[in-house]
Amino acid sequence: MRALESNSPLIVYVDVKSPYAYIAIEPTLALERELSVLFDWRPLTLDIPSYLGSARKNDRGKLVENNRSPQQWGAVKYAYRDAHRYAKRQGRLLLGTQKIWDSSIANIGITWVSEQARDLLPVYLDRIYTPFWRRELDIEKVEVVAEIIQASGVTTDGFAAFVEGIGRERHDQLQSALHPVGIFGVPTYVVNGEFFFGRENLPLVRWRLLGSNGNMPDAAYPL
Amino acid sequence: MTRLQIYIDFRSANSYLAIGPTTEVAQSIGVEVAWLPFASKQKPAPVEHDNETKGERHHRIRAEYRMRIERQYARRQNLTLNNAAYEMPGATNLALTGLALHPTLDYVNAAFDAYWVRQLDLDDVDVVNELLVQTQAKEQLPNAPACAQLLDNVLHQASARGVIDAPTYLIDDELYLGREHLPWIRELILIA
Repeated sequence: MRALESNSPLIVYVDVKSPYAYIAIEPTLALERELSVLFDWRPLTLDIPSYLGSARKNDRGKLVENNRSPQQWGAVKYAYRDAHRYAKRQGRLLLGTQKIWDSSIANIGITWVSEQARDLLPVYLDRIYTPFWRRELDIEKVEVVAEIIQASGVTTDGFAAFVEGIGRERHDQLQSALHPVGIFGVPTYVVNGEFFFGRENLPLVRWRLLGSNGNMPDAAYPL
Repeated sequence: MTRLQIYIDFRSANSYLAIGPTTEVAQSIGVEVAWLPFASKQKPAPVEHDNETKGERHHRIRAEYRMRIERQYARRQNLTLNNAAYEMPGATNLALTGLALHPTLDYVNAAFDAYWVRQLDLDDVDVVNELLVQTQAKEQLPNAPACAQLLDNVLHQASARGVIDAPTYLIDDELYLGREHLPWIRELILIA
């Protein structure tokens, strides 16, 4: 799979463990509905410790592991506060995570659902993101993700083998293809081979998808 | 009159890109803008090297993306962002001190133009005094220790408020980093 190419007019890279990807889901789905086209949703499993340090809290919220600088903590705290207030605007609860999760199984689930029942992908995205961000899901367990897939109305026959085999292989190959083309974070939108990072670019993405007519819009978070 | 407070740094391209849209929003809802100085951390654009770690690669390609997207939005506003300012960000402390003394839109525009277009040294006393004269400021920069003290005070206040980067808007003790928040900020001011 080529990171910047698709049969769909728009590729959307997301990660279940990203708060910014979470609050981008609804406005991105809204754009998909508005334009009546199916976007190509793909997983980008962030390796957060490699660029933002790592940390872990215990059940009481006490920091038990930490190798972040004060600047990194400042950025992380602001990001969560910011994502939290926009989630609240969307009527969603977003609680800060207590560790950096391995979201690869839940992300492979995006590929699985896209291939098995593309029309149910919005249901899966809602059912996986919403409880995860309420701290109700252990997305590192394949049986937990399978339950969500099933609850979304999608078959899980072969899902465990997919995660262990070809699904994992394709996921890992895609991850290796992202940095070489310059993609580094989520949500990322790819239009005509050009990528845009962050939902603040949704007005620009929409403008591009509609043929770049009139004045280019400025960056803005959708409300 | 309600005031929209925004922390800016002349070295920050995103601050530069926020000036026009911020002014536009403020005018449309009849509020004044309070321009406040903030010294953001601007690192030289990272260069690819042998043995680059995954984290270093992440930061490099992120910086490359940032330059590309900022330029794209700059073209929208007919603004110029010079390469040199990205490659080796210069100090702007004296210009930020000038902003604390003379926080007007004219001064803000003149200082951004001096940095991003004319590539002037915004930590040079003559350059900053010229900007102050050009924008009808009533005073010039004080002596060096007084400048340092003044800037230290305003930056300390920003830091105490939790500002970590620029441009940051301050609305009811809540911080909003980036002009992409302007639609919500507009709403918040209108319902206040």
